[in-house]
Amino acid sequence: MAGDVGLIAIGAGLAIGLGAIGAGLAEASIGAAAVGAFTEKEELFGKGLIMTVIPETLVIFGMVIAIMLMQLAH
Amino acid sequence: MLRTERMYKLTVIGAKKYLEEVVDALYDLGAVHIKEYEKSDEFFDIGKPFEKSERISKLLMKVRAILSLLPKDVEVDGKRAGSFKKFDELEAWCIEIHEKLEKLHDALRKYTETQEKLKTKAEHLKMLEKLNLKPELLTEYSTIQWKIILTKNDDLVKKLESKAKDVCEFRVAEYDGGKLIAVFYRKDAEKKVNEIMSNYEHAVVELKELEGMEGSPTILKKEVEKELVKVEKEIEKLQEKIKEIAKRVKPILLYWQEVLEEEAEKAEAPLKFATSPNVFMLKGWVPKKNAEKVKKTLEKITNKTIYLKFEEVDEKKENAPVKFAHPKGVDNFQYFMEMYSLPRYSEIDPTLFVALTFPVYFGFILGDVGYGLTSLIAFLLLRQKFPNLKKLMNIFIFSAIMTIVFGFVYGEFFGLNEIAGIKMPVLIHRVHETMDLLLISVAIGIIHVNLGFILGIINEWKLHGFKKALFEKASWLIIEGGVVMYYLASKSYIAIPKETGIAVTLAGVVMLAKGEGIKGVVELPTLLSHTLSYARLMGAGIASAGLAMVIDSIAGQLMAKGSVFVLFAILLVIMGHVMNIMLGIMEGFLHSLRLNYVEFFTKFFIGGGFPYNPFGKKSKMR
Repeated sequence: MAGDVGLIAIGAGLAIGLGAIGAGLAEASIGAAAVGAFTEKEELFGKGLIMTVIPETLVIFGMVIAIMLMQLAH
Repeated sequence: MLRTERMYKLTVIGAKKYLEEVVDALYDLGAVHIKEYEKSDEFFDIGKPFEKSERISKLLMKVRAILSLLPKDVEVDGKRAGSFKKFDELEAWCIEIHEKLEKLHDALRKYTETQEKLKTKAEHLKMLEKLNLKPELLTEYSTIQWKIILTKNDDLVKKLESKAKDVCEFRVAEYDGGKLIAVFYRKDAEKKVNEIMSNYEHAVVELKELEGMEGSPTILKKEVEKELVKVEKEIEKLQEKIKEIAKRVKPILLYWQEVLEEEAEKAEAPLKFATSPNVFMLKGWVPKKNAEKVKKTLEKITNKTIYLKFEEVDEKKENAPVKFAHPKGVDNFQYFMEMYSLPRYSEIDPTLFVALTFPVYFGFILGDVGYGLTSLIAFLLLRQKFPNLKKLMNIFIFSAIMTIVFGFVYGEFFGLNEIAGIKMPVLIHRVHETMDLLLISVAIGIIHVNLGFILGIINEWKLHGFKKALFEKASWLIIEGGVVMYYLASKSYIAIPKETGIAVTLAGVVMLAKGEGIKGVVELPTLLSHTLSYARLMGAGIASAGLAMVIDSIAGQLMAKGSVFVLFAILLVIMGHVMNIMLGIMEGFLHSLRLNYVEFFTKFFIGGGFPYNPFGKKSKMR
């Protein structure tokens, strides 16, 4: 069983870590574009912020999966 | 509270002879948002500004010109009207002051120029003094030429000595951290001398203004310096005079600048009106609560010879300006609407929902009595320091209070489970009961997202009728209902066949496809993703709580070691928690805002309203 717990932990880590990498890659380019737009037109701050944080959900999904996996380990 | 301020569409038609009175009255009322007239028919033209307009702008320019001539460091207390009965008197006074000031400035300019010249003269004489050269020696010769140069490089002197001793004579003196050199050389050796000098960085000193001077440079310098003192005194006198005038006229000018700006705005108001040879017409909006007052005032000044029409705004077809109508407290959250987009006049104003959810989400994420208290104090101080950020700071203060409330729920005080040795009761343990917290988060999500759908149904129903509301928005709820029915039936909580649930879900999908087209069907997964997105409430919170605990446990271990480590422990606790609070505030702010903007607003919000900007004094305050 001990080996299984280790694998579960690795799985949980991968779920959240890979999700975070994906979100980071996506947010990098969106964020750059949003800041560009924001400097041109200040009113776009709100919309830019929203666009930038949309991929964040990926990490949240990863986290949900991670927590569910950890429940398996108990 | 759920709608923006209700307005009447206002049409005013009156005789042109009352135009000025009407403009004055509207300006004082400051309640009518005037819609600019765009030429559209054969009867009405765009109005012309009042005749006085040009005169007023000229006068305003004069006032501003005088203000620009006054020194900036003159402080005045308040504004004064002065004793002008007519614009004529003001104009004459302005011209007089302007001329006086220009003369003074001209004189000042001349004296400053002389001052500059004398300063260079004095400096050059000082150079000659160092070189021990009389100015009359620096004249034109038939076979000899001379140059005075400044250099930081000592090698230049050495090179001249070794390479050109036979053709030139020079004197060297220390000057300003470098070498000052006077070189006299034969005209036919000019090329050679120049070549040597060009290898080293140097500056040639021009001495034109010393032409015609004779005698010892020391005595000459003293004379020049005496003159300089005289000129400086004159400059001081002139500046004093200008300052005196400034002190006297600045309050008056500031007063009239404001009056003239107002008058100019009034004089240009007819540009927004429609006019025919005898009649003017204006259209605009007025808040319902001010309608009666506007009506009475306008009728009074025109002896009831004015036509006023107050109409309801047809929300399905027309737009109207947006003025928020919120009680104190909620009005702070308008900040988030202005940052995103103003709601349209015809739709539900979601500010109240933002005001209810934002601080709760923030508190849910940060949730720590200690962090809440610290940030509460910080935001109270910041509110005092930056009055123009008051709205945002108020939002943060509400959020900090909710952080304290949730701190008691989680039983956390700077990550510890006790306040000054007293154990706190724990309702939900954040780090151990993650699953419960996750379920609560998602439950909040389900409520919030569905509230969004319900608001969407109301908006659609009002604007486009029942059918559209049913297909575009209610279909989402039907799909959700179908899924729930399927789940309950398959677990045999309710006695219906599972297929009913599937049928209802499919019916919902078909309705959605009809309402929103393929776009709607593609968006279906957002039902799940948007709800699960609320798990961030738990996630960001655990991260912050976990970090706090790590800081405390490391500090505890350091404390146990004693001696110097106690100091490290204290440092770690302070720096760690400050950093964690700042991170937590940023996380709490962004996530709470995002849940509103992305997960909630997308279900119903259209946006794109334009702000209510009434004609009158207030419009300048904005």
